[in-house]
Amino acid sequence: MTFLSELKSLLGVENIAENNLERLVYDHDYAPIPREIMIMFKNRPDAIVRTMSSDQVCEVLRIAHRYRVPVTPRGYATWAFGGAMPTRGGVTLDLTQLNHIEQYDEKRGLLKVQAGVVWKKAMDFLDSTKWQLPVYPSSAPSATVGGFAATGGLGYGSLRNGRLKDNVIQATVALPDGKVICLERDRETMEPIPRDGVTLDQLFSSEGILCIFLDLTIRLAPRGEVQAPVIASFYRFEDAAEALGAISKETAPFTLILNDGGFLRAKREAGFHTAGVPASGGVVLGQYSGDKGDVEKALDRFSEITVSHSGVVLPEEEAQSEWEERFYPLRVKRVGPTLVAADLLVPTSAVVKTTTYAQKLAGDAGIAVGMDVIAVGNDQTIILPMFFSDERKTLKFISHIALVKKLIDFTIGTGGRPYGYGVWNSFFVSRAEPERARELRSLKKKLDLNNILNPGKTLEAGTRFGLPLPGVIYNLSLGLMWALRKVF
Amino acid sequence: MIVEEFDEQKLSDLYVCAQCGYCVNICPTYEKTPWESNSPRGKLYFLKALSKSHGIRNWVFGPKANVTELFAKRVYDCTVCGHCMEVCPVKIDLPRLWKKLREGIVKVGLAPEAVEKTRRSLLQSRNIFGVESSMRREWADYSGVEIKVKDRADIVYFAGCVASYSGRVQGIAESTAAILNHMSEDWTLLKDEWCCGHPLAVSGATQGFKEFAEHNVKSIESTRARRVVTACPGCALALKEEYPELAGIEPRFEILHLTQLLSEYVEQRGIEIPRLHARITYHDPCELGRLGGVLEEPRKVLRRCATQLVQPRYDGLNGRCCGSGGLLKGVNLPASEAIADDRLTALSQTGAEICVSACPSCIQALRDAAGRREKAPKVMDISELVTQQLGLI
Repeated sequence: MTFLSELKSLLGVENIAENNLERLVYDHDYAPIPREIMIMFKNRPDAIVRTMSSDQVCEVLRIAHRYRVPVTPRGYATWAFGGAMPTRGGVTLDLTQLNHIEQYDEKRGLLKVQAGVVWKKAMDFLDSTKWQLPVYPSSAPSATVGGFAATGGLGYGSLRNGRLKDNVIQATVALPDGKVICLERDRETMEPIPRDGVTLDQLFSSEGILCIFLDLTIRLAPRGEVQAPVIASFYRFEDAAEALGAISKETAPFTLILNDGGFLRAKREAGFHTAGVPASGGVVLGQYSGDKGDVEKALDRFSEITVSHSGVVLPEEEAQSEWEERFYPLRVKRVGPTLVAADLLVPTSAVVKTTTYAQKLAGDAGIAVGMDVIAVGNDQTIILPMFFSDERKTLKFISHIALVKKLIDFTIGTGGRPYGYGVWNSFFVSRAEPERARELRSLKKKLDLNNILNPGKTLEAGTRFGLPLPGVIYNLSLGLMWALRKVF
Repeated sequence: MIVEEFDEQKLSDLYVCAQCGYCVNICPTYEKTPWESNSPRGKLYFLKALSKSHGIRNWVFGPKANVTELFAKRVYDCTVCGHCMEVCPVKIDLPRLWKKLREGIVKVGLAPEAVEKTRRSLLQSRNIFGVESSMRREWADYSGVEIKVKDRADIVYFAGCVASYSGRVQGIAESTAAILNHMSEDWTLLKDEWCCGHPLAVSGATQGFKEFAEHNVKSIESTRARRVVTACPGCALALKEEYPELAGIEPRFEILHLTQLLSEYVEQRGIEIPRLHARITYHDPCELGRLGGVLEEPRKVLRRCATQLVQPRYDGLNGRCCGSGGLLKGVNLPASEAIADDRLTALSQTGAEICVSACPSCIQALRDAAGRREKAPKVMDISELVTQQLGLI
């Protein structure tokens, strides 16, 4: 029996696709990468395997382990760093059908979901309850729970509730050899309990190279008596960024989002409404939930901070409509048509420095840029600079990709790092997080000796030739493209 | 033959697509056949690859995409409900793109058999059922409702094929006629109504479309009617949008869906409808609500018709499809029925005793779904409910 025939007899032929059409549409994730670069990777899977249960996922892994076939786990592929893109072919494991909400404990505020559940579905499920999700990604309408667990878990709600991992009390995972383990936290101390030599915290954000999440039990956050979005406009971006820092420290918002003038202009150009005056340097959107008195106090403080930073609090309806727009930062893509984006995790105090540098780079490249900034901790923000490019002009587009490398180098220099690594940022992991890189390397060796689970990611950019792309070549080629940007 | 025929906007949209996937899990047909190639996002990705699949760069670097029968099947596994466009962050006009894509699939000879069958029926008998065109007004004979067929009138009632020929929903035509009589409108049916041509437009078999548009517009204009009323959202869409776009014909009359006229009766002409003591819910037909922009009018009418109007989980612009659009019934009946079953389940979960809609095709699909289960709410068209409450039939 061959590898695929074993899979067929396990899952049924209807759940295996080997045709060219399916192989093509499963060969990528969110990021558009020029074919001249993609040629280095065997990004087209040999087959796509659709699993309907956790048991099937484990069985597929066992068989793949035996045949040493690479397995690329995939949710809805909403990450931009090549996480769901194969690098050495093999099978892509479509996990979207593990989409059941398994258990809801109203009394204790716990929700057990399968990893393929989309965040928006969980959110809708909780709509009429007294609980809400503690944290969810800005791509909640399509991002899966498992994907978010594997790729960082910082998003809306993190400012108050931390990372997703801080709110997961139990998770079932499949290891690369198909073994299933159930990892838990101590219910009192919330410390992770090791099992089989690993802990929850080690597996979270491991970008699918150590395990596949099968289900998670999430500790929910109380919805509170009132939920109130609030929005303020600032003439200067620097004031807006400073206000963002003060508001996140002094009040306890569920979420704070900052968009700069470039982002607002692009959104208007794309034909969508934006809050704030046309010349606004930045808009800060917040959301508070809790007891009425506490929320009112927080809103008062929000206003005071806004005014003291020369900002204006905008009408409530504006806040409501922008809050409903929070899942749609990508509207600006209409003016691209391509976005070259960098997802950066930086200290809040470095927001202005980082965005100013991003603007300088955009100016050097002769393109526009817009910033979407989310506060995710007292002194932590995710900055998503979106550079407007056009992938149809290949050489120019590659020179714009080179710009992201320069920005990441700068960010690491100022105490920040890329939010994720995948394939495209893997060159930075040892420099940005040396300890984490060491830990991941040692766990990878221990759990996946044959390197079959999501190979060629995070710790290396594995090519179709079996060897990782050397950092020197990456640096030289992008450096050259950047130097030649004005020629293209 | 496929992307080559896209205009600049559509070609650019292939690159504008963010591949964010918001359109994937709301797509009714993806839900039934959950392969990426069956999702709007997957189709756009493939088309983008196809647009690059020529020349030396394609030979060296790929992506080497070819249109296959499987892709053609995926293109027709779609109800053209437009939900993908609604959730799309960059608002790609996907329904128009799907229709253009289908034209290409027809041209390369890969369209499913049902498309050719529909085209043949339309060209031979001027209706989608392939029956004698002389039978178009037989519904009036059974019902006894007085119909008008005149040379001149203020309003033309464009009945459409489904309400005219399909026994299960002919009540819609009877009810519409009864309402127009009750309101003493100066109205008429067309002496020789042809299918509006919407099935051709939506299936991509657009070759004979112009003939249908020309015939109907000429017939309507000969009555000197100021307004055309139809209870079929597909017909309304054809007359309003597809005639100008595909046939270059700008109708010189106002086109109304029946719910817009009913809303006028209720709001401006003060018609009193005795309220039914029941809990009712409303299913938005995709071509009326999301694609036609008529969302409030049916609700205004229904609030006057019953004591309680409850909202289903997904409605309005986010209303879920009933599975009958886009020719899906013809090309993939099991998927179409499964989608209708899901929709009826969602409507039933409101606890409503009556599910109301405003489209003969939706009513047919939901009634069929109701027939497949032991217990189901009653399914009624808004015209039937109004007629019932006014005691007209």
